[in-house]
Amino acid sequence: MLLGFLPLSASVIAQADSTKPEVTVTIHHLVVNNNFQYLVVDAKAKVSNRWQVMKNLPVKLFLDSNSTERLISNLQTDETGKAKAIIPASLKSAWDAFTTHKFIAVTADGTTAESAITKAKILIDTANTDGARTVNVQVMKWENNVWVPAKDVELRIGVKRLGGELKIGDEETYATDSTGSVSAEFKRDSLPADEKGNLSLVAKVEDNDNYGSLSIEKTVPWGVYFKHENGFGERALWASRGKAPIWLYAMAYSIIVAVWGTLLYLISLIVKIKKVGVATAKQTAP
Amino acid sequence: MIWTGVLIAICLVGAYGYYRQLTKGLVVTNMRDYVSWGIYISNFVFFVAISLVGSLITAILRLANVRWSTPLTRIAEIIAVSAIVFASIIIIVDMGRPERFVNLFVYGRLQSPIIWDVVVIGTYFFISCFLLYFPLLPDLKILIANKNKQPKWMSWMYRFMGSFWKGTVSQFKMSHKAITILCIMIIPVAFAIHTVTSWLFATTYRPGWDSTNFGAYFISGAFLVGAGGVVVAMYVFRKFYRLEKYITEMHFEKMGRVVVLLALLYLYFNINEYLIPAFKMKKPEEAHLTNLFAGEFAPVFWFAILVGMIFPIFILLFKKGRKPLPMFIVGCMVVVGAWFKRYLIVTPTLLHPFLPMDNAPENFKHYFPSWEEWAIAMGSLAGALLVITFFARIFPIVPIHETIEEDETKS
Repeated sequence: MLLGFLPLSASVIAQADSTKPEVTVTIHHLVVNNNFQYLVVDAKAKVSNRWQVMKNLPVKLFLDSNSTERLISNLQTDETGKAKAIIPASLKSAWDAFTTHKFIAVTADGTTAESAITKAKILIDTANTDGARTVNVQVMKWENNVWVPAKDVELRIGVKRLGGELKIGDEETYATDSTGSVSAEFKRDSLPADEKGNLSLVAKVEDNDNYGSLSIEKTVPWGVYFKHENGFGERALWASRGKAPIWLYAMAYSIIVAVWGTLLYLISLIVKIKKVGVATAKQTAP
Repeated sequence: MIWTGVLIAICLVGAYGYYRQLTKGLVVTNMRDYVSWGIYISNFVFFVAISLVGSLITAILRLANVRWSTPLTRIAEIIAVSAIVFASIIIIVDMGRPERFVNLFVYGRLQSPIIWDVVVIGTYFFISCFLLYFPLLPDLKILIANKNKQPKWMSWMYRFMGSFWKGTVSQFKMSHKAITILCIMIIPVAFAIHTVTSWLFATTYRPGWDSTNFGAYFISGAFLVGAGGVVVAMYVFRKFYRLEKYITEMHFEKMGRVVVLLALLYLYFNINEYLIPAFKMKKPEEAHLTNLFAGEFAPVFWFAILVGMIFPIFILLFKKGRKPLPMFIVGCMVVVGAWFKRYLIVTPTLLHPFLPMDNAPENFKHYFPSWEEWAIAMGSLAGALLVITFFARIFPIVPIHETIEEDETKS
């Protein structure tokens, strides 16, 4: 799942050209659950003062330097002007060698964009004391071969819902303290959850200038199983055949029986008229 | 013969168009995902509408003790029967897989207005047939008595249908009773048939259809087109069968008053249907209404309003306008205007779906019937005229016995 697309660290605008639109490329570095990382390149251009996505734009993405041996991937933007890449295994040693890295995107027309990040991770834990449920999040950065707290990092804490995340308390965002930690109270009671009452807590750092986008999830049994009563199979106007409301059957069939009963009566009148005619013919026959 | 030949030729072209549709599928039509109801359904609504005239001329006027309409009752009933038959046929034509029509009966949902429509159309057909048949019985006796003047098959058919009619008091009593029952019964069924047809549209939220007024709007329009159809038929039969003695200028004068009243009524409902939504101009209605008033459909819309309602009203307000020839012209205007009106009710709404598709192909956004659709639609109209012609050639177009009875009562 994509974690956000705000510009990470740098964007370079192409040289002004009267015939070509100004192309802007941004690079986003995303880490999910501290074990999966990927890059998103976002290309757009300003045409007639309006931003338009750049579809099918070829982009070369490099790690640290613009050289063939540091090529991460040859990309092409999709319908939304975005392209994704993962750092290949061939660049593992280069990746492991430094704490901070720079990503370089080069388009076919020479537009270049750079973005630098420091390796970081995000941790999440929960506590339940005296009925008060707390979510503890810690952000750490890789420095001098050890993980140290990252302070003043803005992050969001929410609970996963359909279509987005619902904040767990009153605050929109939190900032880590000197220990790199944030503690937030979970104030959502009786949130609908799955059959086990499980909810997914999410902590997110989004497009941080130093650490990029980090996200982590944790499942907690703090919700309430909600059984949806959909009334399917009950008698209703919108139900399936054979499940029409009784009043509709009563009305419809009584009208049909009344009208067709009358028609049958009329047929019986024709039969009677015929009998009278036949009898009259016999009487008048010479 | 030329008339019948032309009608048969049009029917054959329609049959060929339908053969192509059956073999190649509905792709030969220009109906696509947006417009899935085209001129077939417009034609269906038109046929259902015109069939209501049977209840107006035969039942309502009879129950109201309006006796001048007696010579026109058979024309009205013949139009009603032929129109309802072709309404049923055209709805099957609209189905891509006509053999699945039977599923309506096997798997039909009683909650669906489509099922209600099937039930009331079937019922109305039988009532109309009865209403045609019972007053015909005394005439059949007269026809059987004149067997030397007709082909053998005709004599056989008359005998098969009514040789038992001897004109006894008890037979007349039963026949009158049956006709009275039918006249009472046909009115709610006729109202039901067109109200249910209107509900096929009005039970949706779509612009142009989402109206609580649709039942009354449809019925008033149906009476107008039915009356217009009777006027046209009156003029044609009067001229070609030399029925000036029976269908007199008085009948045109009276029918003129009926038509002008119905045209005013229908215009009133039209003003309600269009002016009030236009006054509010809700967002989903806006594109639909602008398209009708000043857009792609404006020529057809104003043609239907002016030619189908406003011009007839002006012509018929004057006594000279209620003479046979002007009445015939007005009748044609009303019928043609009504056909296009049905097209405007059905199609433009479908071009403005509430949930438009992304990147919908251009041919989804416009609709003009293919030649197969035109051929089939015109074939069905010709078929209805052929049935009317067939009836008129076989049975007396003016009820002989009832008209004599009326004259005797008058004198």
